[in-house]
Amino acid sequence: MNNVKNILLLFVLCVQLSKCTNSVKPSDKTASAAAGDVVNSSPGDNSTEAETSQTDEREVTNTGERGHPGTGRRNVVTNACTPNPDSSTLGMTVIAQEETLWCWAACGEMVMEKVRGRNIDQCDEANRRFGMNDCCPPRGRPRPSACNQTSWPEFDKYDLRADMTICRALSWEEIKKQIDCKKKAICWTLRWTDDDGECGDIHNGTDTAGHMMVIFGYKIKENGDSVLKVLDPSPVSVGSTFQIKYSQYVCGPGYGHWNDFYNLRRR
Amino acid sequence: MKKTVIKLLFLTVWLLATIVSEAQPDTTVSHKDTTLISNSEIKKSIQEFIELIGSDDPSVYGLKDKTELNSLNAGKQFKKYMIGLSAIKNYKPGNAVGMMIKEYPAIEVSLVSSTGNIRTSIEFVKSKGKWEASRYGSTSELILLSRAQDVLSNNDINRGNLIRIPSLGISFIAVPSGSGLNFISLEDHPDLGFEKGQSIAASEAILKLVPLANKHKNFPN
Repeated sequence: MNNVKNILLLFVLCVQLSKCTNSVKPSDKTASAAAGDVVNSSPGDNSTEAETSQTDEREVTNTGERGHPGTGRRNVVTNACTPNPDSSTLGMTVIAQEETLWCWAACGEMVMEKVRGRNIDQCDEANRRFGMNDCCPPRGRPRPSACNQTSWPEFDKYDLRADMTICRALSWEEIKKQIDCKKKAICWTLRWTDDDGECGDIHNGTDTAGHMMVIFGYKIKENGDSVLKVLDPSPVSVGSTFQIKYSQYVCGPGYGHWNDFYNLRRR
Repeated sequence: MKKTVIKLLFLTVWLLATIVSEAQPDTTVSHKDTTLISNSEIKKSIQEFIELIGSDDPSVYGLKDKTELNSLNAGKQFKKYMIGLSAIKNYKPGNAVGMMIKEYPAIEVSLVSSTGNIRTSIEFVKSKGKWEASRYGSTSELILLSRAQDVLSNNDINRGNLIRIPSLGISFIAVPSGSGLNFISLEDHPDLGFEKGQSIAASEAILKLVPLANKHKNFPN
């Protein structure tokens, strides 16, 4: 009986792992240069205007890093940036999520504050997202439970816009460019695979859940492995920082890849 | 004829044994020895962790300094057990909680101080049949466990399993009991009636989570 159970468990695990194929193939030592499906989008709407990596290059030329030259090398003729191949880290620290279902708000706060240079409150994001006005109660007053809901960050409500992948990971090259050339953090969303349907079904009422974190650095280990630095807004009121192999950013045991938001900029 | 009777008898006994074992609803999670990652592999990964911290502030990884890692010992190796959102939404009273728990091929090795406190961890995943370090720094569930160590007994941590319900941001230590499986809460959740360190029947805990799961809007949390 145990053998039968083990075989069944093995089968289930194989099925789970096979779901990794909806993302960039994981490889720590030879990170793919192929970017995921890219959608230029403010997450609040469902815009699907395509944006290519050439556009990104142009934007590096145009916007650069206001007063903060990257460690990435720039071509003197084209002004195109070549990111540091080994490592780069943005000066960021974790901001913990204030509610159990607010990873999206905490990640939104972390990446938007970096671009806007001003304070963004998670409760304000919730007010705007859910059309409420009491998610930021005075100290000592309880927050309505209706404020604590899952969602995506809405950059457009702060006059920002971001590019978005759909159920795909960013390539190693794109991550390096975002972090070292553009000095932009990335919102990474993983999706727990212990639910029904494939990633593409999630907008059709399928039960699903995931978690959003912020990528703020990368490093090549001495053995050649590619590693990302991650700010995790959970646990609530605590938060955490960790490093993870690139392949495990793409997908891992119990999770696949959902949508990533990157190239956050002013509208 | 006699052989047939004996065969039938064996078959009946086997069937009964199977039914009885399946009827034990909440003890499905294995409690065998879970030391799968060798000490040498852990030590090698600790050195990689030190290399990766580099010039970063070690406190963001919960450490006093990088060299603290060298003083830590390998603690319990936590297999990755999770309960999904759909499973909770579909839970009905009387269902076996143990059957909802899925095991994934990952092990989080806690790194503990000389007093046994969990300081950080390294997660290993299986790659080409070999366990390899994949994540340096604790998962949020292990952080919750480390913060609950003051109210949990070492016995419960050592014989229990860390059960993660990431879609709801809630975790438990599952321990077998005479009447089935018990869940020990790692945090206070007054709205759900969970108290840090409190042990309740797993089935009761899941029932309390059903309304929360039903409120989940299928977006990230």
